[in-house]
Amino acid sequence: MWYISRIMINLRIFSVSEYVGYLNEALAERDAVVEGEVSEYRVNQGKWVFFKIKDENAVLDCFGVVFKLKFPLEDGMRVRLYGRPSIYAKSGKFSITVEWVEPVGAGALKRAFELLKAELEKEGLFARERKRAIPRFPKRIGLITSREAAAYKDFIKVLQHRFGGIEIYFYHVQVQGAEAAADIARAFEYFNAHQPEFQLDAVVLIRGGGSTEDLAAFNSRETAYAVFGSLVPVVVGVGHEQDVTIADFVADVRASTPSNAAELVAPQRESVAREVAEMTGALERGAETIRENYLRRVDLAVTALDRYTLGRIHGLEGVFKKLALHLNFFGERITMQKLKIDNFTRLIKSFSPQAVLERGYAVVRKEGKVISSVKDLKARDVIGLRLKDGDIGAEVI
Amino acid sequence: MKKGFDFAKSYQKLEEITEQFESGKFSLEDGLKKFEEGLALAAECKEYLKQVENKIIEIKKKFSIKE
Repeated sequence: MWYISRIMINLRIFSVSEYVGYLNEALAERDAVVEGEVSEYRVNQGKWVFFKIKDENAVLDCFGVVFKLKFPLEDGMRVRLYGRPSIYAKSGKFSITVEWVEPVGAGALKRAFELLKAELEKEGLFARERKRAIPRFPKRIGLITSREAAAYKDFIKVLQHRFGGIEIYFYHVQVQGAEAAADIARAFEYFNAHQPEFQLDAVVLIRGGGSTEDLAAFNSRETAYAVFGSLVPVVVGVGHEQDVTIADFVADVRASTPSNAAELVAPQRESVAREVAEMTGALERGAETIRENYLRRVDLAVTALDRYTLGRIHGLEGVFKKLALHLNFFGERITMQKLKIDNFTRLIKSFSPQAVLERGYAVVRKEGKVISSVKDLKARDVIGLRLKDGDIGAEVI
Repeated sequence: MKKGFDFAKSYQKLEEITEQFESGKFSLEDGLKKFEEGLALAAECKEYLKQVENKIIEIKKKFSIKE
């Protein structure tokens, strides 16, 4: 008895609440990663998660919230979890408050992937009808990846060879490790918040290939919701062609690799140039057709005009012909008149005194006057005689 | 390249004009106007396509809305 009371005297005395608090303080320093098998997994009100983690010889209660789990759990799944141990004051129950869980081993990873996929599919995150198309010629795009990743260099390089003048808003994130999913979610949140300012045409989320563990962030619920919640279409390109992640299913456009993401975002420069050249050709042909149609119309008009003009000319020709006919007639009449005049002239000429003289007659003049009667003459008058070849004087006897 | 040039818009406009041309809907006067417009658009598009550089703007985390 003495012994017991002695101990009691030397020890501090707690209330129950104080003691639970005291224990929890000590336990808080014992946070750790624990590996084991999940059992009795259940979700309350879609929010609270309860399960046990166990091995052959021991079992522990675990408690968590749904949004902190990257994927749904399942009984028998092998996991690693990190959490803080504590005693719940109201029930005195010891449990681990889980901060994160990850599946262990290929089988568990695969199972976790399938469970999350099924769940998100049911929620409608993969619905085909909500997939948005990216514009053919994007002006501004968001890029989410790690600056150190080969994916980044591949994407930029391929894009450079395709289409120029694109503004790339690059948001650097961790693409693997515990922080990756949260980092990616923050990047999407950032782009959503800045969309009025950036006016992005698409957001591209990429990373290189890797093991299933490396790609964990792209298979997480957090990233899935982030992609789903993006205000602009999302292109996801992860790893090699055979890698398919949850993010791929949620994406509006799924690229097989980071390089392929660049190909899907921007068209090929040469093919666009060819299209522009073809359209230019079509325009020229179209213009030529219009010109030809017009020329044909002009031709028709000219032909019509010609016909009209010729008609008028023919008309005029008729007039000219008539006129010529008249002129001819007139000419003939003139010729006839001339002929008549000639005859007349000849006739007149035949009446001239000279012609009479030619025939042997003479003109008798006295003091310049023509004498036609002998009564006008007496003896010794001097007279002039005109014969056919000259004048000669004579005296009347 | 003139500032504020919108390749997508110009390309679309060019496509429209080309389609109208191919359907032969134009009068000489309208056609000539549209033809000139189309050629100008095509020239601008070709000029734009000569660009090779894409601009990278890295976002500094301090502007991030969280943290």
